[in-house]
Amino acid sequence: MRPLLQAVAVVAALASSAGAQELDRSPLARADAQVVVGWQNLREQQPAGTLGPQNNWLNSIVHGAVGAGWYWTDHLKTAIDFGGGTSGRQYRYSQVIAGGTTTYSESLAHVRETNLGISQQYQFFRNEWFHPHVGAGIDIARKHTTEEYFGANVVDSVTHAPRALIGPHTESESRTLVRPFGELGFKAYMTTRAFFTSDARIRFQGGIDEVRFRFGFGVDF
Amino acid sequence: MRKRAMAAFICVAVVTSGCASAAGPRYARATPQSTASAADPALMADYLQHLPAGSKVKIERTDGHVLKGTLMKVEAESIVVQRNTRVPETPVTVPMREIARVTLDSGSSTGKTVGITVAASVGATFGVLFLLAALLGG
Repeated sequence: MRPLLQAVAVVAALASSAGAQELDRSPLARADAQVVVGWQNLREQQPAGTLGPQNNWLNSIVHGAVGAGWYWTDHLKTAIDFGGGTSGRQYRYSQVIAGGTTTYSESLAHVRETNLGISQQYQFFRNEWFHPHVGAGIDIARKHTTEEYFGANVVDSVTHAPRALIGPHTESESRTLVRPFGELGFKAYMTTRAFFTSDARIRFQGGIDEVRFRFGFGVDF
Repeated sequence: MRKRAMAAFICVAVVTSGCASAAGPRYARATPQSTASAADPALMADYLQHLPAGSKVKIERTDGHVLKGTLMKVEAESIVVQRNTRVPETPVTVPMREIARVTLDSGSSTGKTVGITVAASVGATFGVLFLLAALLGG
């Protein structure tokens, strides 16, 4: 809840500071829509006790989204986007001790997020061909985690035959997370209305939680 | 970390409030370093009347602001110019006494060229990263 309140405070600060004097002038474009694809990097903390490489980042995720925005002024835009990524994979390796015998358990976690982002943006310049912007907002993510356990065997001390201590199985979990983010991007117009867009978005939760780079095309209305 | 991020955002908000206060055409935001003196209005009018309508001009005003656009009309007391903008805007009238200097604009849109170059470069970079991520991710 705390990140949500912080994000709301940030959005309110941006909105209130940037456009009160301009509300009497109708913006050049009322709205825009865009389709983007990109590269998503998610932080996924390894469970406590995990051995092996401690890589807490999932990097090989392709992200796609559609979005729309409403211009309150030529500089202030409220944007909403909906998208999702492919699964990121994390290899996990941990020690298991049972009956005085030590063995190891391996698993592969698949993490995938579906995201709804709401942000307030400040767009620099007016009626130019290139418009940078900064923004802040909240990201509501539905996070699906599926972990495949490959099982753990021990050697029976009497028969010397391998015995399954933990059988192969799969566990799934879904959670909804709300986190603040900041973004930096631009729109480069190809015609008076159609544009190429790109942005970098950083999400926070106890530090940087996600880094997302996106690019795509859109049109003003 | 979260407090630092919050502080950074609030700083951005404070800075951008200054931008909003000065909102307007891009040329109007330039802060003049010094005030230029006006040229002789009669001389300026005579010079401008020799320029054909449709000329791309750069107009430096006495208050330091710069206006780039297309010369549409020249009268004894003022000129009418349409700014170079993405979406066409209503032409503006500039009084002759407020004109410090007029030069012919070369027509090369540096800003647009830089913008397109940056966009293409960033797009190409992301495209390569995107392909790498997709390929290496299996």
